[in-house]
Amino acid sequence: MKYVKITTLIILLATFISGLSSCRKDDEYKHYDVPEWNVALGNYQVNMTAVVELPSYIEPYMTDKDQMAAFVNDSCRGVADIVDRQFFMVIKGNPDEQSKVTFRYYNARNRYLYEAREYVGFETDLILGNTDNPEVLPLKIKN
Amino acid sequence: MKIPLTSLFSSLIISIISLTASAQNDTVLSKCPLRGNWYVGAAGGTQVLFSADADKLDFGNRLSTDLSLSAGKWFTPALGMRFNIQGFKLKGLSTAEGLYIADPLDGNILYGNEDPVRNYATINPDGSYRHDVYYINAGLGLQLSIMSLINATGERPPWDIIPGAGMGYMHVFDHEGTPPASVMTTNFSITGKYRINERLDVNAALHASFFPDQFDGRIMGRGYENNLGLTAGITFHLGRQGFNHKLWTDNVMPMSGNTALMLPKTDTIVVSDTVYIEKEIPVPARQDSFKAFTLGSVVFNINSLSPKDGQDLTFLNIAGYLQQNPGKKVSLDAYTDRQTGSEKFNHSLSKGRAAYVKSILTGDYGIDSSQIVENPLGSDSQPYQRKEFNRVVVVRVVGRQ
Repeated sequence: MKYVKITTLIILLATFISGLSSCRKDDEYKHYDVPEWNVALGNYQVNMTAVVELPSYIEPYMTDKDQMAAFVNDSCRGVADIVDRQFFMVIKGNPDEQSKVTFRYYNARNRYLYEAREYVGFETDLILGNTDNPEVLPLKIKN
Repeated sequence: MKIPLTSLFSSLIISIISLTASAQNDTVLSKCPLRGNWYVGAAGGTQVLFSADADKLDFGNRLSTDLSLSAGKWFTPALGMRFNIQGFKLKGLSTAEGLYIADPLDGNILYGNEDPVRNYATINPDGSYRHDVYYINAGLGLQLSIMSLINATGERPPWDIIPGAGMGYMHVFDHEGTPPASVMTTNFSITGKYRINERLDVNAALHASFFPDQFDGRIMGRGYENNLGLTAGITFHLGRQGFNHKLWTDNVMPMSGNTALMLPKTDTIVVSDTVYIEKEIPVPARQDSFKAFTLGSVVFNINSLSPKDGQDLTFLNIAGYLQQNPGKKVSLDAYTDRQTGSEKFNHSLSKGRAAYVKSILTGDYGIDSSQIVENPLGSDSQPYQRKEFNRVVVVRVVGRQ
């Protein structure tokens, strides 16, 4: 009986402590300042285009101050314009270039910087997505 | 899948009443005094919300504070009713999906997907965000004492398992974007208790409440959501406890009192002689030879108006005598000890003691107040030598009404 009492007391104390110490602790994520992405237009001769949309879990947090850009390594190749909550990009390159194009997205509301999980091979005059069927980028946060 | 909670609740109530009714056939309870078997309680612990979104949180991050206050009454040893106020905080999670009642689009018939909570919460990179829901849930329900069903002694068992069920009303408070809302709830609980003393229990309870999906301002299409809480607390019992108030059983008759009652009450006796001549033999009118006698004593703690615990049998015998002898009257000779208190205070104390004993006999046992005479004597006289014995109400049969 004594063992039962002690065990019960411990359980009850643990219940109290866990309940009363249950303050919410939100996870911390790295915040970024507004990026300044520019394309050195004179270095490139050909284009490809992309119409991109945000995934549904991020789209509600989109604002007009958000930015999206295309990169080859760390070289910015295109900066998007926002029209009707879609991102329109002209991505610069050179003929016969075989490089991997990645995308970065800056969310101004939350000050998060995302990167696309996937890349696209650069191809002259390629059209990636359109207004009726925009490309939805799978994004991950950049820490 | 939606559980038909209303049907479930109704079935449970019917089962409880049926079980209790069958158990009462074997119990010895006789009545349920209005002021007896009440209790109040307080408990605290932890709770967790189960919802479509909150389920995505780690279990540890879903634990939140759970507080409750309760009051109730046992109507029989096995069946009681409880009013409970429970609540404080639930930890929830939302995603960018769902509809929000704080974003009405068309006369509150349609809702949008703008959640005001996002303006206060930290948004995670995946679009989800945590939020707290502060609420209070007031419920009324029935409860069942399993040990009383099994033992049927009429007394509060030393430990017990008490399932309960009821309906409630939950109010969610306006907090950091969460809109105020009020919904009906269906509540279930199971309580384990252990008796510390005559008045105090410690208990542990597992409880769950089911409420509509939109209670926190979010419509996720699940129909209902629920919480589950584990609390620890204390229960304090008020008034007279127990139900062992049946005055006697078939095998144990109450004391018959003055045997003079068995004598013929006529003034003449008619006899027949051997020659069959009937003669009347005059019998002198019988004098009432009644002599007062002590029926019992009710003892008190020092400076206390209420009797010591454990004197139910004394009350039982006194009440039994008076019920069997409705023409008899008792005097409640109330004393205090002489060693403590002023004379004036002691007289007042003895007056209160006599009144209390009378109220128990009339209130709990249904004795006619005309059968009882209060006789507060203070510390003027001391019926016993030991001072603690003199904190007493001596119940004496003093004659006919």
